[in-house]
Amino acid sequence: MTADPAIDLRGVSKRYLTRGGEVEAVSSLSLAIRAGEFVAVIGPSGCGKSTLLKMVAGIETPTAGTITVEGGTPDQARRRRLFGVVFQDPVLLPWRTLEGNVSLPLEIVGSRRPERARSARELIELVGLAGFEASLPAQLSGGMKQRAAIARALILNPSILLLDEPFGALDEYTRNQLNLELLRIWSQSRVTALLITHSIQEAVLLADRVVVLTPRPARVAMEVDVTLPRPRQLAQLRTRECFELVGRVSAALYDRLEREAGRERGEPAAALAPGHLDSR
Amino acid sequence: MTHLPSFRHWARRVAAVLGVLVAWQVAAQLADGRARAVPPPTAILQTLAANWDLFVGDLQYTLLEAAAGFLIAVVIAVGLALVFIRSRPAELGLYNIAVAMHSIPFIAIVPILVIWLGNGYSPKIAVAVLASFFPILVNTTRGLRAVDEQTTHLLRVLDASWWQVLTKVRWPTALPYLLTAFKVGAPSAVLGATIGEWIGSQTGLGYRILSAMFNFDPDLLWATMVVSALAALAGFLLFDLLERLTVGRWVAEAR
Ligand SMILES: Nc1ncnc2c1ncn2[C@@H]1O[C@H](COP(=O)(O)OP(=O)(O)O)[C@@H](O)[C@H]1O
Ligand SMILES: [Mg+2]
Repeated sequence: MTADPAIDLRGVSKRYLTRGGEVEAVSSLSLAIRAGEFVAVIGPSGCGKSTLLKMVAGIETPTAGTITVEGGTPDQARRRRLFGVVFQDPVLLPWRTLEGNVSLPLEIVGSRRPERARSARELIELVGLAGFEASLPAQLSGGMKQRAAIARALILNPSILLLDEPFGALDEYTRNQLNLELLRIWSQSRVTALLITHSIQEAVLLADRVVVLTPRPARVAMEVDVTLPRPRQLAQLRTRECFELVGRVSAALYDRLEREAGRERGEPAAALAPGHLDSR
Repeated sequence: MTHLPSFRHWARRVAAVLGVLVAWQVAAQLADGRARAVPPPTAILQTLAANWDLFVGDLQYTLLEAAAGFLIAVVIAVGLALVFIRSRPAELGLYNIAVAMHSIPFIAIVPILVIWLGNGYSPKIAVAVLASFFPILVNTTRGLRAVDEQTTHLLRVLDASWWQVLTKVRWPTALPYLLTAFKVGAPSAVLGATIGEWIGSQTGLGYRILSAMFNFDPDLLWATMVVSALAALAGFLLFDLLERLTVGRWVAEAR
């Protein structure tokens, strides 16, 4: 596999100019994602994960470095409509029915009505919402709304799925249920997936590779290859292999926190954490 | 807000209004003519009935001006709001002018408008426009901007055009704001038209108020005030009803 990566970030930095001065959200971050790969990004809240995703999607521009998406700039990729996005909020339009919401992207690209209806029904069925086509968002539960958002993200047949904490607002049971759905859908379509999450378990269950980011400004602290065999099942979460993977991600994620706590207790930092992590 | 108020709710409201009217009646009778400026409600009602044809004529005139002024205000305000969301510099420049125009006392501008536009409908319509356009402008601009950040991101990722964003998302988002603005703007237009009739008119509610005042006819003055208030209230209720029938349903359910 020497093909060019689907998404290639090289030395990407992002500074925001705010009233309080400059905020460096992302700092010389490099990351390559293969076509068809499922990468989960995990990091402390406010470290720059959403910023990273927005830059990949072409709706924020990096202040330094380059991002290549399928051979072009993120902006070109966006105009070619290569992306499907799901955010933490389902952002359904409250005056549209489920079907109307799911088919919104098709309206924007100018598809005809019969084709829109057909595709929307297919996708609604795929995410397990058949029978609710005519419901308004207010009549759907949180999990159902997020399923609708997934259907909407897939309706243009994107080659890249960008997910920004899509299940972050859901209860654990619904979250795991949707994780399984996502796995099923992803294994059918094999799109390239970039998932941002703050659940270690979710990252390990879904991804081929987990990328741990440092506290702000975000850079890659560690990458963990998830060796769990596919197709994945919830039961794998209880295997020894999975425990070890979760432990490694957790160690990288909490590295700085643990060292700071150690320093307060007057212990030498080296005694607590392996030195290979960037802790600047 | 979308639920129909219960019977008890209405009963209380009606009781409150009746209570005030009865107290007023009693007070006016006790004063026994010494306070001729405040006639009892029954006297006002009698005057209303006796001059019904007069009021119908006045109403036609005033409502026509108010409706024309309101429509023009809606067109100008919505058009301007669209310019504002399209261009920040235009907003910074024009918004201050709109505020300034809104701050001018209507009563001072009526003579100027009469000199400009003559004695016909035009100056009254112009005052109705001035009275109602500002709340519509402010609310429409706010409504068109009320699209949340994640929706905006979604639309950018979909590479939606400005027009698509406007018609598919911004406009429906702004509708509840617009209807609120109409509820404020419609009564203002009636008020504006009335004030516009204070100079250079031979008919209309505003003219009736002035002539009742100069002839020291408090019964007629009060009766005209009642008619004016009802006309303004009708404007409010019209858009309140429209709101309940349209956006009320999904707005209340959405959050
Ligand atoms: N548009 C913006 N303008 C200014 N600062 C921003 C903007 N977006 C994000 N930030 C700042 O950048 C940092 C990272 O934000 P974000 O990428 O949303 O973090 P995360 O998604 O990891 O929680 C935060 O400190 C945030 O306040
Ligand atoms: Mg975020």
